[in-house]
Amino acid sequence: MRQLFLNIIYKGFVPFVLKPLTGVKYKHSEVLTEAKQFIIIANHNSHIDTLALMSVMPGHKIKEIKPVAAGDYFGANKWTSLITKMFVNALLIPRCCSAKNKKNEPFRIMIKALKRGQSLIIYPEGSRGKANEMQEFKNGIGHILLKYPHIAYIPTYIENTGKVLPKDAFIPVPFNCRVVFGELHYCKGQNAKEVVTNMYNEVCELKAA
Amino acid sequence: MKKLCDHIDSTMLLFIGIVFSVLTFASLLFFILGKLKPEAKLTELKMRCKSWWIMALVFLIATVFSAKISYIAFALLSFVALRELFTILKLRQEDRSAMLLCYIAIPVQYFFTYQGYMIASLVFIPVFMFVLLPFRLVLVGQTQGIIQSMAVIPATLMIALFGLSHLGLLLSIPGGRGLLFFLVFITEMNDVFQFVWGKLLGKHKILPKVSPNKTWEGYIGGILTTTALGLALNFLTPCSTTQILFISFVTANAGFIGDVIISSVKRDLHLKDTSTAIPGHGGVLDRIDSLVVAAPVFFHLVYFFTK
Repeated sequence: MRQLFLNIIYKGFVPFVLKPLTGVKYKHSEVLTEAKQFIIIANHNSHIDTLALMSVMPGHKIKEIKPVAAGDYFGANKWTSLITKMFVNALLIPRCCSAKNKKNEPFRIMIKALKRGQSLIIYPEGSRGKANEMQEFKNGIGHILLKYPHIAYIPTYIENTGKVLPKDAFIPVPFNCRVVFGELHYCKGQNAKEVVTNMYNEVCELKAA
Repeated sequence: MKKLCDHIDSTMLLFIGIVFSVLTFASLLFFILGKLKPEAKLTELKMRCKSWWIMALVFLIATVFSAKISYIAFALLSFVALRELFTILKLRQEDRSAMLLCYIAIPVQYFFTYQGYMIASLVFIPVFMFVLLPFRLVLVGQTQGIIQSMAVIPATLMIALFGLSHLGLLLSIPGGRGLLFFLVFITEMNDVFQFVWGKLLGKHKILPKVSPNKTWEGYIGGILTTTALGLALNFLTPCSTTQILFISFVTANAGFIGDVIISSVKRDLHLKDTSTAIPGHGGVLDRIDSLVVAAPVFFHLVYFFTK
């Protein structure tokens, strides 16, 4: 039921809006069928990013793909939280530690999802940056991958979505966008910092593709 | 079905026959050449040929059946061309609102052409939008880099919307569909002729800094062949022989000019193609670059001679 619902949204309605706004072209999206479970590591410029990624995910397992979203932003009230969970299939995590959340809360939630066999979409920049400019990656995902080195990740470069709908803008303006997927990669590096630095470089390399 | 067929008379059928013969000839040629000389690099030419088939079919479907569909198709073409231009041009984030105005101008302009409001469609962009767009930029208030945006955004609109909307204007005058077929066919064939003559005889470069593949031989051969083709296709237009020779000659030159203008823009931006929308051709703008300049020139010449 949930699978069908997400398929109707991401194979039906979303492309109907997304196509004119972004004319989005996907490169090397075959990689998504090569592994059962994966983590998408992408740069983040716009809300469009998640829509563009979700609409190219294989329909038969779209339910198992969870975009990781900031709980303090999307879970700010009951309604936004409900909408992101229902329509975006998002996994809400607290970005910073409040008194209520223990320090490891975000990790616990993501690891639980990975153990359930779910795939994640993660934007390690932490928030939306300026169009086509990449900020530094946060270390969190490095810690998780060091613990679960058998899970593959796919570096992904998303271009121009930040021009279509930048942070703080409400009306989208059409531009041609591009989503380039890299190969399947496995965690390499001694510590979390090294792992994410490698990831960062792999995403940068896709710019030229 | 009968109602649909009423739209298609014998000249239309003849034209459609010519288009498919040319395409079939090209496909067969590449097929035989590929068998005779397997080492020749024909992959890109074959891909282009395949895209030509699709483009020709889409164009005929959009123009043969009903004028309404044609206007919607032209508007979509303008939209895609505008989106392509805004993507490759390095404009500021402050220009978003002016770009949005450009997108809104598309349905307005095609409404004017659809209604046959000739003066309105001729002045809407060069008079009204040219006042509105800089004013919108002024309202945003960011003056750093505003000169470039004030110049580039209206120019973009001229290319993507004003030029192309003349295809719609052509349709709004009596006998317009024949003229539209004539214009699109000779402009696109002009590109092909220039390419073929250049490949066969090309030696002396015509614009080495802008378009290193273009030669004097390709240019002259293309223009002359296109003029002859225009004469042969005169059954689609109400013009006399001398008129059509002149019109075809000037339109072929305008097509060449449009081609090299977009080429130089791409060169400045260090791009080969404007996008990857059409396999073998590049972007939509790479294919219609000659048409956006040739269309207004052709329309006003025909209008002047046959009014």
